[in-house]
Amino acid sequence: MTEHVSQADVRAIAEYARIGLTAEEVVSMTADLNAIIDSLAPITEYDLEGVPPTFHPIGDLSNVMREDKVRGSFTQEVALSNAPKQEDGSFLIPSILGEGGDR
Amino acid sequence: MKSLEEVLETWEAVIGLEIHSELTTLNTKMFCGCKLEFGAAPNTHTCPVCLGLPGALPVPNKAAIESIVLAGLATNCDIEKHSMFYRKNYMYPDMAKNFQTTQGPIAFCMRGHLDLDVDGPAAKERYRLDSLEPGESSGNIVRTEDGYRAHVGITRIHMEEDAGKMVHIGGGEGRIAGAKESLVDYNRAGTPLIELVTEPDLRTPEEARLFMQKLRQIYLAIGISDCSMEEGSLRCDGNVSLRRRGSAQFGTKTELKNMNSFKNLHDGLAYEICRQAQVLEEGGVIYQETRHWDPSAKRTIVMRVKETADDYRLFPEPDLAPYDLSDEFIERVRAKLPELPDQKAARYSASFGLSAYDARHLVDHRATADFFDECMALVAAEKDGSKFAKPLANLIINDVTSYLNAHPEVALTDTPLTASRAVGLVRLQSDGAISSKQSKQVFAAIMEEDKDPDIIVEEKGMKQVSDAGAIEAVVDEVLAANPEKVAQFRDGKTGLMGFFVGQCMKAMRGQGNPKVINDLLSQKLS
Repeated sequence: MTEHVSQADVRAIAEYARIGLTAEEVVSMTADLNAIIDSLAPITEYDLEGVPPTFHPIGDLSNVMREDKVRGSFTQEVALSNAPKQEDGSFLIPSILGEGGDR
Repeated sequence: MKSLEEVLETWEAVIGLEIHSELTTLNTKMFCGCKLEFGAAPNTHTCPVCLGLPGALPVPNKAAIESIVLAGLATNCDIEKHSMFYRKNYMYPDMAKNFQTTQGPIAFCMRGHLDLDVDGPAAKERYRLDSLEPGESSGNIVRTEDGYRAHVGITRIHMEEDAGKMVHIGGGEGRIAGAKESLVDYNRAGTPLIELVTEPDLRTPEEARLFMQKLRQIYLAIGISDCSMEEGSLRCDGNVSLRRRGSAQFGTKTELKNMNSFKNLHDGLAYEICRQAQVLEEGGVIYQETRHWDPSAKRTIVMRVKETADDYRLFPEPDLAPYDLSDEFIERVRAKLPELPDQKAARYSASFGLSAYDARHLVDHRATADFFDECMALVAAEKDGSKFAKPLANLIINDVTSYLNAHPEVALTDTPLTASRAVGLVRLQSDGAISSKQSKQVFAAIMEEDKDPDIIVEEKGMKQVSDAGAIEAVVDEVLAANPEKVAQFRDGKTGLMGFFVGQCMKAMRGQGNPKVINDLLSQKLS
């Protein structure tokens, strides 16, 4: 088995996904991921030069759009119903340091 | 710290902008049918899609795609028929699904440009503009009579969605520092947002400000956004770096945020250019970092240092089908393009003989341009109706604009000044019934008393006397009463003309037409 993914990669991916892995889990996950990537090896035997990447399994689907019409929204009560904490109609969350994306 | 002018002697500033606009004129969000409404009670416009609940499937808003294509056509972009949405992954509570849906390497609109006319004081920031002759070009600019025209490239305009709003509590004034908890409102999450990215073609803070103003005019003209910098529906980030004059290599850039007015955009960039120059001249290093413009302290502050590139793990959004826009779709959008500000200004110059300056200032705001069009339509049937163009332009650019600046909460259409009153006012002056000074008084009275100009002139007894017979009698009287001065005048003391005009005016209580008085006096004294 070739090492496509290192233990450091797995720890980084787990961090991105906010998944806590024990040291043993990192080892087994690394082995699993490498085995999965190995199973895709036959693809490399085909000549794919000039073949456009397939992003969607649904063949010719394109331009799916809806009209700009208002549909019902949740009430505030429903929207907040799964929130562990709420205040003044808003989700109340622990403060997160740093900033969001670049919008 | 050196002044901007001094800094730009040694350094060339390289500026690029990223401009986000919410498509506020639409009814619904980007990927769901939740209503777009600014200022609604928190979390009253949400659904499984914009709350990122498991299994929810997004469906793009057709009107949003039409809006971005319209924006691209209005800014000379190529419309890419084949493009798709991507996921930009990041964990932050303002986006419940933990990714922002945006576009990848290919956006709906690519490779556009806008031409900026920079003149007056704004042109002074450009380094050694005087070394160019009108018509001569250098880099991306061409020297014009009273400034220059700059060609500014637009890299792309892509479609994405806005995030929710967070309020941090426990710290001071909603700031994150010291905050223990945050309140999140997802009403704004999923609002259609278009981001325009310019090429690093801007060289002065004034150019950046003018670009932003011009883009705002265009977006307002095509009606895709209310473009309120105050409410955040139009937002601008600036990328700035410096390089020594003559160098072709780019320096390290910083990204500047929080420039939520045209003044802040200019002042923030100007400060950042000067700050970078000082660091570099003292042998320091510019770090690639995000800085925040603090208008009250008049300085930029570090928000975060980018140690590594953000890892957004961009990949094609599997829940959204790709786009394959048809010619028919694009042409249907093109048919919706209204007359754009530049085209309008060109028409004003060509049809009414207005100067480029007047024409441009009339189209600065859609309301003033519409008002001017309405006035000109009223006189269009008259044989020499276009003679009113210049006085109407003066009225709008000077009196009306300063009135609107003094009353920022009032829209032109809500003032007592109707098109027919404006035409009536300039007609009174062009007929010689009132002087230019009286015209200003009548304008003020229209705004204050909500009456027609003719009635105001009548009531205030302002009507200027232009009747040559009536004026001649006064002129004769004045000359007869001052035989010595008449003799002195005839001996060459021509400066006495002012005295005679003044005496006639006094006798007519200021209502004599000065031109008629002057003509008659010259005639009689020769």
